[in-house]
Amino acid sequence: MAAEEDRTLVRRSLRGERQAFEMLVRKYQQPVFNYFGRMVQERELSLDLTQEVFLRAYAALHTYQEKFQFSTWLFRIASNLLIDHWRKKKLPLVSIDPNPEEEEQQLRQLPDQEPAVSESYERKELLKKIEQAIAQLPESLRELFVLRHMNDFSYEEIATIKHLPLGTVKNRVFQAREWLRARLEEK
Amino acid sequence: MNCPNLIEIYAYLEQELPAEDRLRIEEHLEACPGCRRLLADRRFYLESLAGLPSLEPPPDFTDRVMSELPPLKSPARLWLGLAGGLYLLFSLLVAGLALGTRTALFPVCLKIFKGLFNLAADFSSLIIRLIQQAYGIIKGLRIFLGVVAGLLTDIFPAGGLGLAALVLAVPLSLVLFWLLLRPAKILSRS
Repeated sequence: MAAEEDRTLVRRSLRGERQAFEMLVRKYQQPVFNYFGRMVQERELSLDLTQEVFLRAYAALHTYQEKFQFSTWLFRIASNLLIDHWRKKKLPLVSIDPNPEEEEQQLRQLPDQEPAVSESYERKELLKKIEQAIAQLPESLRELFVLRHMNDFSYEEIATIKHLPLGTVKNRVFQAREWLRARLEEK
Repeated sequence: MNCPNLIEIYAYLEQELPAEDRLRIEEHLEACPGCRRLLADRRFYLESLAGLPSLEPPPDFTDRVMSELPPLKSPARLWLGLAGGLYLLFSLLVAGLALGTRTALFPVCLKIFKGLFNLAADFSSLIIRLIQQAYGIIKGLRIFLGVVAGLLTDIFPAGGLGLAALVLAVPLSLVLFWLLLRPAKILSRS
């Protein structure tokens, strides 16, 4: 099992086997880089942040608790680093909690004769449009969206990474999807 | 049934619904062309999301990370660091007091020195008491082993001492093997 393999690699790393940690880096560098790439939209900065995640993880490896998955522990470090980065850049925090009543109403209603995405775009064109729209998603919605759709984490794993209730995670991923989809309708 | 909401449509597509709700939606879909169209659209959309290309780091990225790794912090290192820090603090305190005795603060420094000396003396006597207790345990163990050896000599008559050693050696070896093989077992489990 992948999670158990990770735990073994952590144990070996703690015994001083650098090769074991190198295997963890090789395994997770792409998903972590993908996460930062989508979040900050700058290649060099994403590489620096990805490197910093592994350096922080290595320095704090003795604090890793085996009851957690290594992947969620690593992405929690990544998420905290991203928050630090945004704080330093002093990006305005966007409220992503709409009026609960309004939201409830929105979720209950079915869209009335919306144009089908499949009818409006070819797949290739659609992917390009989605990529552009992801960059415009509010940060906190974007993060959960990226964790779900780019990093393939389950809702439960995202809840663990972000310390959020499961219902909140599901709701925000839903909001992100529909926000993006609404942008696709704007031709 | 009423048309399912969008959250339910997504949950259906992601197979997050319980079997009962799933069936309910499937039954509804058969009768509702609007929901079928909506489902097909969201399915296409989700499949498109899954097809987004992944960003790849450069091939030398692992080497870049590995060359920057800081020294590993292990619990033993932390304790050593703490002990080193305490020792440094103590040295600085003594040095400060030694310098203080040459000033008008002589009586105060002397008092602190005395306090420190008493503390060191108490600590030393505690350590000596612990050593004495450990020695007592070792002595008791020696006497116990002597009695066991005597009994074994009685049980196994002359020439049978080798056999006695063998009897004792078997469980001891097993314990030793278990201790040696235990980490390997943990590793092979994964």
